Amino acid sequence: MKKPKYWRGIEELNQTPEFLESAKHEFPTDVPFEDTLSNTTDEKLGFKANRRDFLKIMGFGMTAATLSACAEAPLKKVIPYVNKPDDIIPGVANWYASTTPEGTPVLVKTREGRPIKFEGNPDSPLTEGVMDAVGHSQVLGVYDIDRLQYPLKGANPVSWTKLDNTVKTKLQEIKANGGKVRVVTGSVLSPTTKAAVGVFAEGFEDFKHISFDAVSSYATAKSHEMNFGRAAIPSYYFEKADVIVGFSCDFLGSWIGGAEYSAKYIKNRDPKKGHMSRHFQFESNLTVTGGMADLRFPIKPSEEGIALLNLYNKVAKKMGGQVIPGVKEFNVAMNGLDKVAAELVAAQGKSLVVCGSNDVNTQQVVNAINYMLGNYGETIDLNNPSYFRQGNDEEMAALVAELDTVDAVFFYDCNPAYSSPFAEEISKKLAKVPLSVAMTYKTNETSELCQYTAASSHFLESWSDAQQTATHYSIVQPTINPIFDTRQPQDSFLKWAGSDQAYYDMMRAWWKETLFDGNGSFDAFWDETVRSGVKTVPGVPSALSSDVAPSFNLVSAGRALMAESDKAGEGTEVVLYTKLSIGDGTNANNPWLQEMPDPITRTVWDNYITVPYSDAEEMGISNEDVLEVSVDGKSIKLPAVVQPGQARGTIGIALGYGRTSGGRVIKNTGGKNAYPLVSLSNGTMDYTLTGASITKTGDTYPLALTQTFNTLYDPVRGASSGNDYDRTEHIIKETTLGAYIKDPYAGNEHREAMKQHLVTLWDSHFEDKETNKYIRWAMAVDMNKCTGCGACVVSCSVENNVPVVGKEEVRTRREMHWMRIDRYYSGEMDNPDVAFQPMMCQHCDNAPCETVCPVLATIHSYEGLNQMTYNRCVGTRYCANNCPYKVRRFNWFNYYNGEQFTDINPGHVTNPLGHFVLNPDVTVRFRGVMEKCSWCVQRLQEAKLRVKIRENSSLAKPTDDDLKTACSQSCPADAIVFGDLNDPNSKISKYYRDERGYHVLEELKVLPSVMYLTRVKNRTEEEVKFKEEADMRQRTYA
Amino acid sequence: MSHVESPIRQKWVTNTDTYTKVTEDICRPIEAKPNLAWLAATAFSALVLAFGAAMVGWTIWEGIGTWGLNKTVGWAFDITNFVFWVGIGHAGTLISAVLLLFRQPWRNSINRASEAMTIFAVVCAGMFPIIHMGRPWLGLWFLPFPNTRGSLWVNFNSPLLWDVFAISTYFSVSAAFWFLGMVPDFATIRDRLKMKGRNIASWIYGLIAFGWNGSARAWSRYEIISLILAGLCTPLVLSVHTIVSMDFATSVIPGWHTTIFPPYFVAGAIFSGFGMVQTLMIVTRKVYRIEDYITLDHMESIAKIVTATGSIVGLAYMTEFFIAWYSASLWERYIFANRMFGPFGWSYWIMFSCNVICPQLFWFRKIRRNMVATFIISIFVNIGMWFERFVIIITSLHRDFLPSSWTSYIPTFVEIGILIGSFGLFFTLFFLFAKYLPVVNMFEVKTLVRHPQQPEHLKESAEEPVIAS
Repeated sequence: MKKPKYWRGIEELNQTPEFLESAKHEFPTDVPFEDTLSNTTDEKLGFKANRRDFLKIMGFGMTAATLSACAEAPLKKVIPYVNKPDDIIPGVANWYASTTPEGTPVLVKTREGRPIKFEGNPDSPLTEGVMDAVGHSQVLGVYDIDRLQYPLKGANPVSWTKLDNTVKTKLQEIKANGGKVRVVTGSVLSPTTKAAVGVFAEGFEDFKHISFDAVSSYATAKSHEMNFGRAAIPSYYFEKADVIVGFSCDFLGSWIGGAEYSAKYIKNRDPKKGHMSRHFQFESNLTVTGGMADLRFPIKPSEEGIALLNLYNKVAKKMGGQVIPGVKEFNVAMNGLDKVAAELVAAQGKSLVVCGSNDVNTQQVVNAINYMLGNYGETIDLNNPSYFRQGNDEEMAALVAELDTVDAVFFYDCNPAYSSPFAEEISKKLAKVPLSVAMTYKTNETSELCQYTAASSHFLESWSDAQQTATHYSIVQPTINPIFDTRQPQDSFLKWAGSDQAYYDMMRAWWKETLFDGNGSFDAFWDETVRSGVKTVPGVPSALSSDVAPSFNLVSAGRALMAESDKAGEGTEVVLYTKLSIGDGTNANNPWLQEMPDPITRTVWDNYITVPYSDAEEMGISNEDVLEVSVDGKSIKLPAVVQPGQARGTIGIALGYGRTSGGRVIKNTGGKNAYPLVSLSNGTMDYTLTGASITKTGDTYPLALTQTFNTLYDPVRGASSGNDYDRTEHIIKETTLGAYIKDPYAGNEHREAMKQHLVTLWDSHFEDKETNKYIRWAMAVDMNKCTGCGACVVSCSVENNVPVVGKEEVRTRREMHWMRIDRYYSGEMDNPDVAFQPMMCQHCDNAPCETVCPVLATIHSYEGLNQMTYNRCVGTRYCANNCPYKVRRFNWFNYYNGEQFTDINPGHVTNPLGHFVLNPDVTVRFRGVMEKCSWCVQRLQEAKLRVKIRENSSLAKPTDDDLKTACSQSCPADAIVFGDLNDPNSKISKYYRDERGYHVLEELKVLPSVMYLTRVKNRTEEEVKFKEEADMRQRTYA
Repeated sequence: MSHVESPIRQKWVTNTDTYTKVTEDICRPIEAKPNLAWLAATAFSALVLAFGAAMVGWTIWEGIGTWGLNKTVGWAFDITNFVFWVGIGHAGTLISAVLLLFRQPWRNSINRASEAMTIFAVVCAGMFPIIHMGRPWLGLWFLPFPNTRGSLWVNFNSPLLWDVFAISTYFSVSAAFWFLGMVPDFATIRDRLKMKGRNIASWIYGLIAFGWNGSARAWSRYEIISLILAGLCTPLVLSVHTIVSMDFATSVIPGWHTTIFPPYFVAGAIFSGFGMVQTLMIVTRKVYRIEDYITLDHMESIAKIVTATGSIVGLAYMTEFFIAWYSASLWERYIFANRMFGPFGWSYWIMFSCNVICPQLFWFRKIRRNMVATFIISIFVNIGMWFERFVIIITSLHRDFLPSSWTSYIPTFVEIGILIGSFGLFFTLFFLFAKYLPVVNMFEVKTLVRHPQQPEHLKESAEEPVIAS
């Protein structure tokens, strides 16, 4: 059979002449290549090109491209791993132990080589894994776009070689001439850093290392030196104390070890044990500690001395001791001092009087009371002191006096040109010093005055160690290569001393010599220490040894304090304090801290004058009125915040604001510098002033408050309308220890009745047997433990990429925090009771937000989570309107690229460094999208996967040890508990069965998954009655 | 259709005894050149509209943050304006549908304009749910259509979704009804323009007249379809605002969470709609010199409805308060006390005086027939009804359950600009309507002309008067 012949087209079939012609050529010729390129016809591409030209052009082009590729381009290291490092699995975090500059041992979470989050190191017996808000915020420092990137001479970059040579040469000269060299540091916790300074000091005839604390507790150390012969701040064991008396001592907040003391304090506050410590607080400013106290007595600073003297005398009388002569009678409400004295005496050896005053005489009386009560060796441990504050005010003052005669001065981790009363003097005298070097990782007021700034590495880029107390050590471990051309100051000291040793080697050597016990190899010891991050050595017994002969000079102290109190009465008294967030101002460039609401005033981004409620009424002062405070020839103008609980006749002003150097966040911060008001009296810094006058300037200054309503009832109309609008019992439940012991349901009696009342036609989502197989997440907040410190708020922001929105946006009430701590006052406004209530998404089972979303962007998970799907959200905001707890946050703008957020939002796209701190597991939200607390769903997912791998079972469920949300992990007081409610052994299940448990706004039947536990105050019935009467008195008066 | 009616019946059209005059009067503005006043008014409205559009553009460009809302007050001007305009839209449908079904002949003169008002008000209203969204470009996600996004579906539980259906249904049915009603009139205009030689204009009107030929069959079908549409529209009058009220009533927020809202909102909507009809009609009849078609009697009837619905609204206000007290619910009591005496109390009293006290003046016949007074009262009604929605939304939201989150609310110029712009949109559309479309339904008004002159061609054969059939 003939093969069929297929033709490709009509042309081939017909064998047209055109086809036959074209078939001869392999390539069609009619491509107008030359025409296109040439200008023969019209303009076209403008050049005549033939094949040779074309090749020439191509050749040139390729060569040019190749050559340009040879140019040195900036090397960007952020590329996918070609060879994956063994210890990095993309998407899985690595944790390293380190220590913050404040001395808190931390675990640093790193993702793909960059640190993104801190958690307290649970291996530390000192802190037991707790950390305050400041600690949580420190991770941002390494990505602070305003950090120093290279050393400076004046304001100009200089190379390290040049800097080293100059410094070395000058130091040689000084050595030769026998000149004075001074090193000024903050409290250096690191023993090896001290050793490095020691190496540096060698060879100088006149060398001094001065420790300077912006907020000093020098008087405590000095009084102990006078009384016990040991200049140290003792360790306080709040957990052992049954009666705690605080005098102007915010020990749960901004005092020496806020988070650590909170954790210990709260251990003795569990009503389940049937016993709680009694806590009395005497203070002028309302602090979180005052808010937690069972009884709080507002006193003026000038009354502090006389109150302590009276307390001493009352205790002495009861114990048959000698009274201090010449003490006038003084008492507080309810004969408080008698009450306190009686309880102190009853709890000898199990009581604790702490005082935040920096006055030696005051501290002597405190020491004497504690000694008389036998608290030394029990609740106070002077033998194993704490090293958190080592500042020596006298030495600092002496340095400032002689500063113009000094030949070289080095400032390391301190900023006295801002944070001391000597700022002006320092700036004048520093110019005369032949060599001045500041060692800091960010410019500050002091470094700007120095000739050289040796750019420090951030502590996350450095090796070091820390000794928090006599027995507790920890390691500072780098978790990232130095990002910039910086060097850690210890290396600088060694280099300038002419030593070839690297600081790391020196540190290892020191540890080997000092702390290594000799068992096994040092390498193994070192590796283990670096891994765990902490090292504890056995301390000496805490009992005072018998050869200590305490000597108290109480008569003269009493005389001085009486004189002090006699001076009072003229004018207003000023109390300078530090906020929990900004502290002494070192971290003022940290936007997370700036936007963290003050636990008491709920104000952000500013400092202000806290004016007592009744005084404000009398003087006609309201919030935002600018006041001028004049005292001792100095004056400061700041806006007022009317503060219930502020002792009448006093005002409070926060330190740490008004910085002029240090970065762009600081430029966006309000407030004024109050350090000039600090004075030096009797050799110690005095943070209180008497005889101030307040005048209204008539101006107003806007303040950003995240909460403007402070009570749960109408404080004025409440009494007359029979508390018609009192919503307390739906939100905050309280009882007293006595009532609780009688009936664990005390304060929460109505809940069972209400539960009976709340019937529904619908099945519960979780009574289904099917869903019971799954996890059911739930949270509990123990209102008895929450101190309101705000560590959870910052931790949450870091974990969940919560944007910082700045003062203006907070002022329009658009802060984005996923969790907040509501603060309510009750009772008399001059001395109210304070309640803190952490409030986050309640993950309601009948969530009102879920039903109203038209596009199902927020839905319920099988595990009881109220989930938010950002991608799906169209932004109707109905869910936020319908949320009874108002925890939903709307992205009003694009916070990550909006112009107004450039300087303040660390995750801003124009910030090439800041956004490295973002958690890669959490989406950055677009504008127009609703967001809210997710209960750290990324952590839950991670834990579930980890457990499934570990147990090798898809049914494995995480237990309490496997996960914590950011807030529950960071709570120093362990007030927030999170876990699986379907696991009968979980901690959360126990909390859910607790008699104190209730839900906020339970009657709405939205079935929240957050259980709150009634607060239990250790108050007697008589005291409760007294507080109620005081409340009624004030209301009638109002 | 001959029209000899009992002389004792009320005259709804005065000084008119020929059909021609009706046609002439109504077509005059359409056929005439635009005059300066109209041009100025339209240009001004368009300018206001452009300003509003710029503000909307700014909102979409920059984000909802340009408004004065905050974490607690998530809705304010946006939804206030939305409900306000939807409410305005109610009178049109009520007049055209309900009054048609109830055979109220006086509606014939005003139904066209009030239906137009309805359409334009719903256009204004429809804008707000879209621009109030954080991401308006995703507005499509409100529609339940099969999709490739994992077949994501809408949430049929959400009142906002019901709104989408309610408003879109309402808009389409109202628009169809309105347009259909104009078809015979378009044909009239088409024919008149043709005779005048304006072929292009005639062609355009011819196009939208759908080839209307005035045959008995066409009329018959027209009557049937308008009755059907009227029947469809009637439940919508009740349903739309009922559903809008459920945006609030189904929530848990005190002040919103009330069962009285559906009837209360419907009454309020009709009230506000008639208020707006008054405002527009008083101006239109004056400017277009059609006082013979929209007579004082019409205005009086409208005023009576305003008084009636205003009183219902007032009763609803008081019922709410009584129930808030009677419920003994702390939240309810507080929110209503706060509504009257709280920081936004002033807005409550504006609302109360405008909506409850003002319309009571219409009990006086003199005021009902005094167009200046009526105009002023109608403006107050409009203001009052805007504030009613403002009061409901703001005072309920700004102080709800937890005092820690209580805030205030201050509108920004962007929000005020959008509100003003929505009036620009409304009036631009209304002016265009008034110029290019017949503002009064010619053929229906003709049924009200009494004792018309006999047409010339009938005069010889008819010696005796023709009795109406």
